[in-house]
Amino acid sequence: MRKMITIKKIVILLELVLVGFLCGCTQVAGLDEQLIVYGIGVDKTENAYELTVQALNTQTTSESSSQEEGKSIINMSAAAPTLIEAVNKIENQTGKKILYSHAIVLIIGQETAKSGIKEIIKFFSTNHKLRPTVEVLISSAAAKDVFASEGDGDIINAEDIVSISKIGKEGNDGINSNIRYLLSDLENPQKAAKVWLLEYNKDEGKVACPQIALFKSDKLTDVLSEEATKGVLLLYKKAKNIADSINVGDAQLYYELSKAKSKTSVSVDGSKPVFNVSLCADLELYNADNLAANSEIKPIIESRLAELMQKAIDSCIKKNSCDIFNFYRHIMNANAGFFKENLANLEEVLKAADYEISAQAKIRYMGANQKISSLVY
Amino acid sequence: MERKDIITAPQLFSLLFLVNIIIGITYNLPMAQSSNMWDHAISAAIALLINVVYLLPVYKLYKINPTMSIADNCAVNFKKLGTVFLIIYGVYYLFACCYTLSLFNIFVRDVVNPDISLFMLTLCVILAASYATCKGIEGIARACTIILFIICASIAFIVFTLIPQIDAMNFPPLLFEGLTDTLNGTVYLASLSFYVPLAAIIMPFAKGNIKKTLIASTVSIYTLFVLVIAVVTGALGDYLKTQNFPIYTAASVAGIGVFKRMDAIYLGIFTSGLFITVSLFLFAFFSVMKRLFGEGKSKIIIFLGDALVLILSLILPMFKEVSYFFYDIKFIFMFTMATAFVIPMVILIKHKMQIK
Repeated sequence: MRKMITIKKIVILLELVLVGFLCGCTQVAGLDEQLIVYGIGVDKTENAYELTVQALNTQTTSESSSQEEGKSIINMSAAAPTLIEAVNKIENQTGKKILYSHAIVLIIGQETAKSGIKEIIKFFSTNHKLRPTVEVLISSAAAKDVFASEGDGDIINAEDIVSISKIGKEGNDGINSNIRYLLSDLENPQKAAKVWLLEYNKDEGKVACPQIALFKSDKLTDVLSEEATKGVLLLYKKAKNIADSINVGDAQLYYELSKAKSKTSVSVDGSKPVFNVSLCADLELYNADNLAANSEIKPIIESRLAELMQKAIDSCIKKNSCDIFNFYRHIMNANAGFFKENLANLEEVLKAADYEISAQAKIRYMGANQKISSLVY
Repeated sequence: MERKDIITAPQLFSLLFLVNIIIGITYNLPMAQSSNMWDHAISAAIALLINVVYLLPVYKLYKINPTMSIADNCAVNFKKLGTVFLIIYGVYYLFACCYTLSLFNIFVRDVVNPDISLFMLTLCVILAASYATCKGIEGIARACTIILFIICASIAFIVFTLIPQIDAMNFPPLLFEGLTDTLNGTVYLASLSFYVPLAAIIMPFAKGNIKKTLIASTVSIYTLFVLVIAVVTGALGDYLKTQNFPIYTAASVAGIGVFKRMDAIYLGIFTSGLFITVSLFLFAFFSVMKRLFGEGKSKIIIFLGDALVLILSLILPMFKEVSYFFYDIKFIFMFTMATAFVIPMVILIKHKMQIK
């Protein structure tokens, strides 16, 4: 019994001693010794990578009052032949190790994206443990300029950029533009990757995400127009907060989708697939105050919605052979034999396919002096 | 032969279930030599049937004499061959320990990448598990029940938060690329049935309806596995192909409301369950050594076993030539089949012949 108690004491003591040597406590790097990065920007010139990071300024944050919040973020850049050297340069500039786990956005310059993004994405996601939920955006200007901009004295911070890219695109709505979905698209040869394009207005120092950038393999191939972008959002099963306008006679009416759900099915007619895309949308119509109930408004809107979706298909599939809608998967599920037979020339099959698009809209008329009751759909 | 420690049938269930969860969460496509996780739903169904077949001779031996473990049966029914069988079982339990611990080391090194020494972390786990082993099966079972409850709650929470992210487009048609992925998945899952040889050692310590417990644990394990495959495939899609630990990745993208970044839950599940798993296999190893060498020498052997597990689990991931063989699913499948089915069947046949 005494022996057992002695053995227990020795074992417990040994465990406590070992815990002390685990170095997680003795060699830990405090937060002020690490560079907590929120945003990463990558640009590539002919010979070098230019890495920009937006990081938390821990020194200023601890000293400043709440009114000086803008200065709590700092931007740093470094250029080097490889990304790893650029990372080392930034760490040498600051004397701190970069902590990527808090990064929320990775911005790649548009010109850089044309030469391929897979290497950049894999570098950060594999080697530096960037989380799969980090938003990836392509910037119309250099990524460095976006982070370095100062409009109205405020630095555009990474959180604002992510918020702008996510407006109306919560959860499964709209396009998911983070590392996880991007790598998923890049891994699949039948799929094309798509990412939000961050438009940067240098004069005003403002950013917006109105367009989608298409990728062929991992190289930027095209940027969709705003109309085609709206069409893509409509095609992506669920969408909301898409705003658009139509002309009814001399009046220009505006509408905003509160809810939209699309459904795609395919049948193989001989050697050609026929896609049937149907959209059900609830929308709010504005500026129709002085219009009588016009039975033509609904068909005009429905026709407009179908037109937007057609533009999206024309831009993505017919023009760029970029299947971002998983149309290949619909064919695979509907007719596996046909899919396997045509696997080698699937792009041509999708280009030659027929797309029958229809939209049904439930309209809620908004406005103060409306002749039409707001309760009418 | 008298039983010393008694655990209940539900405790036996929780031990076997937990061991399988811990081995199951190390699941990855490269080791299964597959590219399509969804086909492994069929693999799980086939592996379930294989496990039922595995359990038959083990349970039959238990029914003949409920106080005798597989180690006792080997020693009683065979002389020299019994010694060989005992060595095989001893090596198997050490192998199971090394396998699980080495995968944990690979996970910690590659995914978590902490600043702490991997050697010290592994040593801590082994020492703690060794201590638990010395306390006996009852102590392990009690700890297991508490840990299993927390693990099940964590898994349920992660699954619940992943469900909204499921996209039907991520599910390819079953058997779309033929039978290869399904067959490889079946071999992989059947090879990881470490719980069957483990049950062969610890069943004599349990009281209650053992048959129901074995069936319940087998069905629960594979049902859970199919559920996890469905949720992970639906949520991650082609992103799985880039991940070494897909279930960890699923946990890291799971989130609802303010509850995000739940990869820490995966780490908690793995670490706490690993402690129970290693202690159970060390207990099994200890039982076999006790039978082989007697109680006195077996304590030295257990110390040597601890050292071997520590060294192998750290070294194996470093040498590709050895690890290729060690992680080869065909080798593991043959080894598991030998310990789970072949040896118990041989003993059963010998026993039947002796009766005749």
